[in-house]
Amino acid sequence: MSSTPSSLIDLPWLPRLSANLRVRLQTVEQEGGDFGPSLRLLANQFLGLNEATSIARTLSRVRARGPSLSLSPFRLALVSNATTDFLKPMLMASALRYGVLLEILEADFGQAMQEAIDPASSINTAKPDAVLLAIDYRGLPFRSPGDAQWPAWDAHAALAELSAIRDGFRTHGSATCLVQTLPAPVELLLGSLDVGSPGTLRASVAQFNTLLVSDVATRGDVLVDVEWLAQCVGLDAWYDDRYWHLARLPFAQRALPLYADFIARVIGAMRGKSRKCLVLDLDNTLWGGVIGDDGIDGIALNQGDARGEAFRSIQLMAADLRRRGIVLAVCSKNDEAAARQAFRTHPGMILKESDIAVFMVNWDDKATNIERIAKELDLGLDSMVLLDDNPVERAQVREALPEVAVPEVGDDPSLYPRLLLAAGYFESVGITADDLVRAEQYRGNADRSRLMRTTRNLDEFLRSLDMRIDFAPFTTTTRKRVAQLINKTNQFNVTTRRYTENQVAALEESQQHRTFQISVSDRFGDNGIVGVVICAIGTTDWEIDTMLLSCRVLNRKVEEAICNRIVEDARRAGASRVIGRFVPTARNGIVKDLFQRLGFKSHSDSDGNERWVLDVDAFAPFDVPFPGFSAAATEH
Amino acid sequence: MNSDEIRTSVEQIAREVFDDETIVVTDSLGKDDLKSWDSLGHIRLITATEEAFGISFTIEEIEAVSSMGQLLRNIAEKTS
Repeated sequence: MSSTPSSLIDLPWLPRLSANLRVRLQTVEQEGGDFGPSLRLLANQFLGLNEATSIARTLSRVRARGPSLSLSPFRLALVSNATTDFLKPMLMASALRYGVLLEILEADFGQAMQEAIDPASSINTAKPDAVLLAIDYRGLPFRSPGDAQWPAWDAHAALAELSAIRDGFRTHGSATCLVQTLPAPVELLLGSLDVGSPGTLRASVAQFNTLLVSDVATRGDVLVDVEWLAQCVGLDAWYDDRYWHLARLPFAQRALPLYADFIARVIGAMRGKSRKCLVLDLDNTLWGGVIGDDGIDGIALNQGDARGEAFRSIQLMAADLRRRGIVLAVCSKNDEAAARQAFRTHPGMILKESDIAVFMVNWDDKATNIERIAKELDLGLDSMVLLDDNPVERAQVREALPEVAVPEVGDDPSLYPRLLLAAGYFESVGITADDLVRAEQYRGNADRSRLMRTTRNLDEFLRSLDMRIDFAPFTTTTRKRVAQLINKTNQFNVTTRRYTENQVAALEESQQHRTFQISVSDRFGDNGIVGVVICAIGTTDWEIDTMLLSCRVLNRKVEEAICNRIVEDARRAGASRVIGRFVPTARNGIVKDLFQRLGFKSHSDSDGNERWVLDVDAFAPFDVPFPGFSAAATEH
Repeated sequence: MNSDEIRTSVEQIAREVFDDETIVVTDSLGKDDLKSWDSLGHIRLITATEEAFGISFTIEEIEAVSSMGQLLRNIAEKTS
């Protein structure tokens, strides 16, 4: 029980439960204030059903006292052909691990279709953020009743049923569905012939998955690849038919924590909680041996040498992560010159110095260095993952910086890529063009801050950037990126309202809203879409529903340019006031004074809520460092 | 594992599953004596027992167990 398990079914990357959970939960219940951080900390350990049940119980008690500023709320409806009583607490506890406060709505057992197509059903009237369709092959009409012919199974009928359910929830509940690929059944009738014989269960499930994947890609919704999950665990271990017959448990109870974590990380990704930066140790993590002791010729990093190849696989994984937008940093207790020499001259190195956004190599403790890296990259600690072979360092960082994810990876480097990737820290619900160039942009930021140091004042610096700003309404092609920004921007975000892709799509068409996606480029590169504004437009008042900016473009007068544009458009539309609201969270202190800074005046409503009001006619546009900006605004 | 050790382990499991530190496992302790030992509680008790002892019960055994005495006997048989 105490040693680190090696099978993925037991989430080996999570530390095993250490402290007395019961006592710690009592403490959480007695403490006042935000329960989010302490519960999230407890959930960052391996939790079985008993522990998850205890956490869920505490959670329902403390959430009744008020919201958590550090957790993102998410309302999930659960629709299944199986028993969900155990899944519910497991999901709630697992979601905490990803910073999500889950509220679960349940459909009646076996009522998926009724819930979906009835506009007045409990789920449709509740308008959840998403509906999890936890339906396996036994819950879909693969085989028509009483059908005696061979072959008996029909993927299209099953797919049509699932499509109708999805359409129902989308139309009547405006909900995104989480749809699952289906694990193959274990039993074959013909043996190896099943896979190639249309109409066998094996072939039909495979066909169903292929069709479903392309359907979700074209029609929306979010895919959860349960087929892959079951294959990782092994189908023999995944299915336990005894408990299907006894209690309608869809898979072995032992797989429940992994399944729930797998769902929770997708929900986390929908809320923008995925991590953004991989921090790498050097000795015995990126190469075998200690560079300071073994020297550049002594470290294991060559093809043909088993250990060397294992370390090269880790580097290859890191390089691939960088390519899809994960920022890489190095954090090592080492001699910087020796470490850099390995990057520059060792022929076995796959990662190059230029792949690393921040190189923090010194003799200070790791926690301090990781904080420095986060600061330099302007990322939150909850965006960081540390890969380190040393269990003492891992424990120290986990203790000092509980927000940083530190996977338990054991001491065999050949397992590191599998364990790190299986942990799902970098889960994504859609890759955008911006993701693919992000790592480059972070390097651009480092270049810009270097220039900032050599330029005397801010205005001068900003003018020297040759910045260009563009405003455009939301479009279908950029929907993913807009939804991503809406869901992951925590700091420069005045209301922190989260919208799903479907809701963003509705805003594109809305006559009651004016939407802006804001792109900024400069002479170091194109930052892509970095800001989103949604205004609810009335005849006299324009109310800013959402105004957010990526932290990449802070301190560049972008907010002033946005303000100019909103007021200009409001004036043209005949409105007389622009209204702003600041909704405080644990992370958005940076915009506390934004409206005041932009010249809005504070008004208190009769209900005591603070509003910020800007008189359109009295507004004098800000002088902003975007050549051609005012021209662009007047052309509109 | 002798019968006392099995009893201690099962007591620990039952306390965790039913979230009740006062449970004392006697042979006669049955489904009717514990409010939380309902049908889902039963599944949790059995799956936790299977996992802790590394054993597997048949469907018939799972359905038949209605007291701790029966459960302890089944475990003893499978672990001897």
